Amino acid sequence: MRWRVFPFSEGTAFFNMALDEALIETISQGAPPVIRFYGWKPDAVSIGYFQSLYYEVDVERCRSDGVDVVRRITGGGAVFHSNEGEITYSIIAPQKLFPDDIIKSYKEICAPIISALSALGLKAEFVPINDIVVEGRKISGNAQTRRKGVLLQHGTLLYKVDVDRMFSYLKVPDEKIRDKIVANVKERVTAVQNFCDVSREEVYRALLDAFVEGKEWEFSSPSPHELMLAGRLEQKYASPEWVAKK
Amino acid sequence: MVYVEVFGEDRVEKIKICGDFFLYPEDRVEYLERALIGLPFTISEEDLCAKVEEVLGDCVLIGATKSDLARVIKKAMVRA
Repeated sequence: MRWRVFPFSEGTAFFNMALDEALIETISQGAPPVIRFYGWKPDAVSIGYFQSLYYEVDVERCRSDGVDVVRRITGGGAVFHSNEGEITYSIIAPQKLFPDDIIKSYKEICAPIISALSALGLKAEFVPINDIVVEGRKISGNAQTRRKGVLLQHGTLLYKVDVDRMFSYLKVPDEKIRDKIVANVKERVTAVQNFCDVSREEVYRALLDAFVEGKEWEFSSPSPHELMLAGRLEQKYASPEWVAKK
Repeated sequence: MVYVEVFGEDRVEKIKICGDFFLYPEDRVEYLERALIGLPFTISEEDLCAKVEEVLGDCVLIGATKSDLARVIKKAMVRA
């Protein structure tokens, strides 16, 4: 099986999520599997499929700062995606290529991220359900869905992190102890830049090399049909009905 | 973390099940929300758990158990 690899590109939150779903559709109909790398422009907050928008996100603050808010089709928590602070990947492929067991499949798909970090000199490990940690601190979060016989996993690798800015957009369960919660997250989250002086381009190259290792692959881009589907789905992802569904 | 909001006088008229959990397939949560409409707030946690088990069937829930979910729903009914 020959994988299509879409090199790093930047897109809006709505397009990024729409393209993932469009690829589920075409791959369910026989298109070759995809590994894609992307960034978020403008900055965005994504919330998990089951999360309440108003419990999780300071929507007004996002709006005034030009930060997009999107609901994912995957579960999990809210994530602040800064344009310069992370590299996001998606892997979209027939489900049969991966273990049925969800945790095992997370571990298998996360393995290249651990290899990439190792190539950069960082000792990382997978922590179930879906995190990658370095020195006990989370550096990568991942989320997965399975639809129409296709597995989609997307995740972020933090290149640099600003927890204070992150929490200017994310709500906390108890405002009275916000400072304590933010301090706790600062202790538990890290980024590549905290360990080594590499450019984001170098991190991307390491990720790319690790994800394609052992695979037959070629650089590619979405087909016109996939772009058309993504264009339609983009409207769904940007709609208040979808974003504020819960 | 799972949050549940229940609306109604003495029966479920509307319910929202939210949180950062994982459920495969995801849309089964909407089946569950629909299946709980009309249930009396007096339903026992045991019967509620059986209902959740029945609707979610072989769904995979990660980050919470089906009985956790039933417990949170029951608490939300008590608060409503």
